[in-house]
Amino acid sequence: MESMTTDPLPPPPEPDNTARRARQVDFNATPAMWLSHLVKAFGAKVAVNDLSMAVPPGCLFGLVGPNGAGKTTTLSMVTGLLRPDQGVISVLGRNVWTDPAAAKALMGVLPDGIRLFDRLTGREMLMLTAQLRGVPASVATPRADALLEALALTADATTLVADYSAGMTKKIGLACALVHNPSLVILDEPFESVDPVSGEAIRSILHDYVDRGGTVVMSSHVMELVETLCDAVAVIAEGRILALGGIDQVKNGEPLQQRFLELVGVRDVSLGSLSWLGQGVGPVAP
Amino acid sequence: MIGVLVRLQLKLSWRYTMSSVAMKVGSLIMAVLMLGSVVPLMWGMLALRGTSAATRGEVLTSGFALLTLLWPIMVTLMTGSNDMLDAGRFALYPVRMGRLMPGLVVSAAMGLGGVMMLFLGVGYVAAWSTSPLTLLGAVVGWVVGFATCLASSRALAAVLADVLRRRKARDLTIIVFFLVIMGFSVAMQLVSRSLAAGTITTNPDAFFAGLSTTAGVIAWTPFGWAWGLPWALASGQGVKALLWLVLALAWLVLMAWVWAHQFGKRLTSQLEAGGEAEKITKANPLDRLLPATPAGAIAKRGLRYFRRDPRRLISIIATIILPFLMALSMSMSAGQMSPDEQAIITQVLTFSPALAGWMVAIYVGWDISYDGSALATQIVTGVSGRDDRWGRVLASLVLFTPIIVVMIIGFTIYTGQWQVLPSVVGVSAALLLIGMGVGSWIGSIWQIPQPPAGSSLVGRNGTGGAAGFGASMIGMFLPVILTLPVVALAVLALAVNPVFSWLALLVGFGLGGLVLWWGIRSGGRRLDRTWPEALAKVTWKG
Repeated sequence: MESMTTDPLPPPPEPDNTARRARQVDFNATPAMWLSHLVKAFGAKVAVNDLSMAVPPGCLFGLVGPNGAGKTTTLSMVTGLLRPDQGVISVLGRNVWTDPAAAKALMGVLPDGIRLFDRLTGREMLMLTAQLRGVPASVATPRADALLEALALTADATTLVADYSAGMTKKIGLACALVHNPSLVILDEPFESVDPVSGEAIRSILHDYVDRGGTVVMSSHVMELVETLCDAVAVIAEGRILALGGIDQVKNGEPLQQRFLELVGVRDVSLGSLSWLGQGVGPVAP
Repeated sequence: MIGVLVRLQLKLSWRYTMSSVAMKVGSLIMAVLMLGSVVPLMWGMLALRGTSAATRGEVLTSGFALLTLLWPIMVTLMTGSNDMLDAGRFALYPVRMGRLMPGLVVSAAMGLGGVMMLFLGVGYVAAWSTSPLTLLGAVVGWVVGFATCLASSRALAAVLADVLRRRKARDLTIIVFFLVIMGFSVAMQLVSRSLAAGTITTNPDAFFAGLSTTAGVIAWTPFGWAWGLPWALASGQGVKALLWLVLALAWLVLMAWVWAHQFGKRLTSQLEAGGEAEKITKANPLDRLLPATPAGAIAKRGLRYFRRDPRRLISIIATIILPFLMALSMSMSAGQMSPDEQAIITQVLTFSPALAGWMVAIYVGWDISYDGSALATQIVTGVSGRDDRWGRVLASLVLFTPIIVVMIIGFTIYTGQWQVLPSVVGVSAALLLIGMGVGSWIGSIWQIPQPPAGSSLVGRNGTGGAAGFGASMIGMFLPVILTLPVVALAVLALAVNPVFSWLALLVGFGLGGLVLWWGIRSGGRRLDRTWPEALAKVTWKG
């Protein structure tokens, strides 16, 4: 790679922080999602450990943490898929575990790591989800068309989801989460395997949705994504909140990646025991 | 390399066998059955040692040829797509095929089947140990024959893996396998009955002449060439023996080549979900029958899954076939009965379609388990348990009611027993409705994880251990017990007064409706309380 110094790449531009200003978040407003002393253990492993937080309404909220931090476990409990051992969860004032039907009606959910009803076509999945949600067909049909178009799935609307790629499956899941126009959207890793063009479409869909009054809670472990997309963020590790607040407040003047590493605790990656790795490799003379 | 592969194969098989109580028990039963059958077979072969060369040749050649034919099919059935020796698993390692093959051959010989073949081979060689020449022929025949078993099972697996790149083909194969097994069991029944009915007892000469002809034909098939070697030698036909040996070796080489060729191809090209995805644009005409409610949505999904999920498609086929199998079996028994008994059988035969209702009932109980983790996408919508239960029942009703009605009419036309028609309708309706009610209730309590559709070629269903067994038993027999009052009325109609058959009709629908209503209500309430637990139980962790 040394030879490339004769023709250096231009230095990267300074990050343009004025491109999109995070929405001002009012943490004193009645929360859209409220978790109180949430605990969930799987056998001896405590996945979520006395976690409390509130997500203010009208913002794009990011939940970040390393692998195994408890993000998916937390979101599963919020969406009624996993029963908490302890704690209270309420969504827009409705208790998820004492009044699940009312709470679920307000939420749109994209779970991660589950199968879909993949022997349906994309359009059938969307229409049947709308019907399950009680959306009349006359309303659901134009919505389904618009969502498929926006997510570039129109050409594959009549293909079975089983034959979709990972990214397409993610997108049809997202469409299903939005078709009933929920008040709160909960997305577990919504950008995983999604191509950049569709990723941009999802960004603008989510921004428009929040600008019109909706609330989004999304989990991710890609800091750059959360940094440019979210208005507020919670950093969790080992089932606990390490930091929570407006994005600029949590960043505290640093890139989110750097701040995240500080909060989670950087492991020493310059391991001497791996010094053999790369020794003596390279092109072999014929 | 051989040691590495054999250790790997043994370790993985052992872990798989020990993975659950059901697996342990199942494997133990299998081992006892297989090895238990080896002892009498070996004893039989030793007894054959004293018989003529012709008898030995006919029996041993046809027997081992059948084993050679069944071997690859059995192996494929048992390993399914979870093949530990699958070429794709070695694609990332820098190994050439030539180094892998010997180890793979030895690994393929490990296991119950291999052990059984070893014992049977000893018996086979012993039976032919009457002269040095036949002994030599038997040893060569056994080595080539066993190698053919191994190579052809690997070749079949390799070819199937290639075919099964496409989801559609995978789905189709599962159904074809199911039909083959069904056909096989029917054929066995026919054969055993026709054997029992005559020839072997009444006309043994004709039977053995038949066996002789059959064996003569079998010895000339690829499965018999190797095993016929000592027979040809014993009858002094040296040219035939040589020809069979050449043919047997050629077949072995062909099988090994097919395997090696597919294997080599797959070492460098991974399987992908290739093939063109089909488009589905046609609306389902049955949709219009269903309401625009959440339950209607679940029913619409259920109807689509009946056609597109191979596991559910099999349940339709089984539902339609079972009454015919039952009727076939009954009418064959009727052949040896007195006219009075035959008259009763004809009336009972008219009730066969009720069995279809019973199958539907069993299916409804397991429906939720087939959803797998996709159930989560339904749970997050907040749909009520009652809508879920009702939607699934609705899909089965819409699909199966016309099928059962047509069957009832068809069977009644066939037997001409129109006076029992009300009873037949009553019993069928009771079994169907009561069964669906019981199934709705059971499905809310017990869910058993099932491998997702298309992930496994055949079998390997989740069994769920003791709880699953208990649930299956209740799901199968509780509907029958609850239907007994209606059956009693039907019997009274036959024995006492035909008026009772109208009562059976009335009570069938009344009792059925009541149990269905109860099952949907109590099952739904239970699910409303236990959705997260149900989801955890249906999620396949394979």
